[in-house]
Amino acid sequence: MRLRLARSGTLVCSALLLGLMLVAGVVALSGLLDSGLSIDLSRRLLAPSTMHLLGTDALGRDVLAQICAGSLPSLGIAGLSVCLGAVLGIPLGLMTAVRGGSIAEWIARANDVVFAFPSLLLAVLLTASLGPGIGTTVIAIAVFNVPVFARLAHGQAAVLMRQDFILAARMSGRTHTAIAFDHLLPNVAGLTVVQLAVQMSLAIVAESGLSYVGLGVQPPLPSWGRMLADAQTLVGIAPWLVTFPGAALASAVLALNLLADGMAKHWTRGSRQVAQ
Amino acid sequence: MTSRLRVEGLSVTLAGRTLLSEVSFEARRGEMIGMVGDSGSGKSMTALALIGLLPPGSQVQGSLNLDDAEVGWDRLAPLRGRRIGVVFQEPSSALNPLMTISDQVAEGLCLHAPLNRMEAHREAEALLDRVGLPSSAVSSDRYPHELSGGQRQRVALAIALAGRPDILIADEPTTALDVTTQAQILHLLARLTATEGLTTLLISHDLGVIGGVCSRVLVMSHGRLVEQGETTRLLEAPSHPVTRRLMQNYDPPEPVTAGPQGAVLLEAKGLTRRYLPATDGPAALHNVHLSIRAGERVGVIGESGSGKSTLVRSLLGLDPPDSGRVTIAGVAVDPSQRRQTREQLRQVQVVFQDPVSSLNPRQPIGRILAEPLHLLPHRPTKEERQRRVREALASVGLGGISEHARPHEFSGGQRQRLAIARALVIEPKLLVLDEAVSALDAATRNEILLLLQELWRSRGLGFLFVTHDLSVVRSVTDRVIVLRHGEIVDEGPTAMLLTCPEHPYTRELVGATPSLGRRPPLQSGSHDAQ
Repeated sequence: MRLRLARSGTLVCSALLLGLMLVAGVVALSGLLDSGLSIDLSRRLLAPSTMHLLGTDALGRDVLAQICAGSLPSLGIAGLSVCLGAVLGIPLGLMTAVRGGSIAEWIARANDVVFAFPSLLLAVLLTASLGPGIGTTVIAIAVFNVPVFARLAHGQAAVLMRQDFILAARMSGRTHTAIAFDHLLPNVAGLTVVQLAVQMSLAIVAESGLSYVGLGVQPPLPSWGRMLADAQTLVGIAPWLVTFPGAALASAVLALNLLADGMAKHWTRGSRQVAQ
Repeated sequence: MTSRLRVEGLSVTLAGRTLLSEVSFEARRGEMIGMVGDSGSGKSMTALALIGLLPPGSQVQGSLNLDDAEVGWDRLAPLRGRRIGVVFQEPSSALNPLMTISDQVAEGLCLHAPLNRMEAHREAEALLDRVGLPSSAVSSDRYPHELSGGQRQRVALAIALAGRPDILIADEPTTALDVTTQAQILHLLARLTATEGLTTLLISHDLGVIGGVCSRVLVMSHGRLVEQGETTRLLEAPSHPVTRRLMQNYDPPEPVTAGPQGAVLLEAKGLTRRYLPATDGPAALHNVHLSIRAGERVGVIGESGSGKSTLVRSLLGLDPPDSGRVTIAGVAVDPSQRRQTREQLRQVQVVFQDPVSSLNPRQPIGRILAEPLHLLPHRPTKEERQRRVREALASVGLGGISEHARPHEFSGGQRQRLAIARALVIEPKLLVLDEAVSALDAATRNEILLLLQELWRSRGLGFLFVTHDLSVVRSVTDRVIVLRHGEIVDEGPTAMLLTCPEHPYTRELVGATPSLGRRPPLQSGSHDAQ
């Protein structure tokens, strides 16, 4: 199984890229890049060179160092909020599939309501009322992930509920909760992990959006979204200020999507073998 | 007489695997020949080769002659539908759900002859009439979902005949149908073959189906044609071991006589369940009375839609009835009373039809089998759990297997044994078997039936055996209940009911059941469109 995983090139490449970003973030946090992150007006708006590989910004900070330092907040917030959404959403979806009835119907409608809202708008409202910061950003993004996972888990579980082994479990006197966690959860886990990666790529974009409008990560903590916001007036003079953070953002999103793709293929192959 | 269809030395290999090897046979005009064999024997592969629909990458060898003219295996696509018509097993997926039946038949007609809309419609109605769907009984403007399974198979047959084929290939055309409908469709195929001068190749796993209507039989095994001959000769003196095995396994094992019975264990009174609960709408189950004593073996037979599954679910409290009540060991079943329900479920356990879906694919066998132990009033120790699981496995003849194995490592018959072992682990008094042997091939089915007889003898276990298959009921039950449209229409001791049935419906069911010794009745009432 591990061999087959290794053979899938895109899966490994994307996992490596994400790993590299996390390592860069940890390095930046450890203080090794502090000289690059400090303000030094003598070296402001330098074009990319051997000294500053990706150039410097209006306050003389190194762009590469900033991208490295910004990766941890971006990936961390995205990961945290998506996991929070999954932890709340999956049990919700499983329980509604097992119980059915009017409560399940109400929860499904509540999900529809959350889905109907433009997500960024509600995130803006939430952060505006609770005050900006990492915690609020995580909650704001998590809110939109709950219905995604609830619906995914519900859809899969509803199909499984028609299988005879669920009837057998009921004939064994198992409770709704036991059926949900013993029988349904292991069978929906594979697809949920794939969705986790997809949702994380969306969450990275959402987090950058919030930081871009100043509601996400607050200074002095660096963030890809805020780098883009700071650079927008300087696009004509210093194009590297937009290009490189934008590229970092895009490659993180791409890597996560490829990761999801690779896992989905791997997972369906595995389940086909089980079926045979 | 010249042959209409002659296949010589047909071999098919795909990616180094031999799917068919040296298959040769021929068939004349107006002749219906049958091809029989277990699953994976190459029956369907032969059919696919004849209609030019082999999987891509297949290597084909051998020759094919239609009316003594050689045809290349890669030249069959234009003949498909014109000279060679096909009917498959599943009538519901063979039809387009969004087109009326006459449009679908007309579509086939227009492919082969230039017809305008009116002509095509008229021709389609004439063709539907010929397959036993006259427009007076079934409007040709209906959609597939408005028809019964048998009627849909008739439409599929009409579509196959629309191109005026010489050769008709019917691959398991009656496997998805009830016995009475099966007899009607087989009769129709036989009649069309004779009157239209067709050459029909009927493929089936059921030797009784083939023996009833075909003049010659081809026996397939592992991609080879192992024996062929006149039906009567072949059934009287089979020469190949595969044929002999097919015949030996055809009939379920002999019954063992009834033993002592205890007090009433399960009782249902006035059970009614409607399709839409809490309405006055049509009932899936209507006023059913039933009582089973400890150690008694009761069969429930009925065709699809007769309410068998609804009855099982109501008896077990999985779906509550709209009215009436069920008592187990004298106490009413009430799913809201958890402790009491557990006590009742310890007495009654169930085995389902599909051995694949009844075992959770992600759990090891030991865990699956131990699940009913949750019904015990105390939490079993690890030793007790293991002991009970091992005993249950031994009692179904799977003593040596690892408890860490997963369900997909076992064959269909073994999985059904595992499902029985799970039901036995809690040592119930009554085992409800819901079509528990219907998905198995004949040999495996007989093994499971023998196992059930053994369990009854050794443990005094009672059965409620729910099935559509009359021959199975004979070997494992003492008493039979006949269910039709949700009502009990007949009831009595098994041997008596099946040998000299009195109720007309029971008589019809018994008469339509295929068997090796007797051809199904070819009564003229083919215009059965209900």
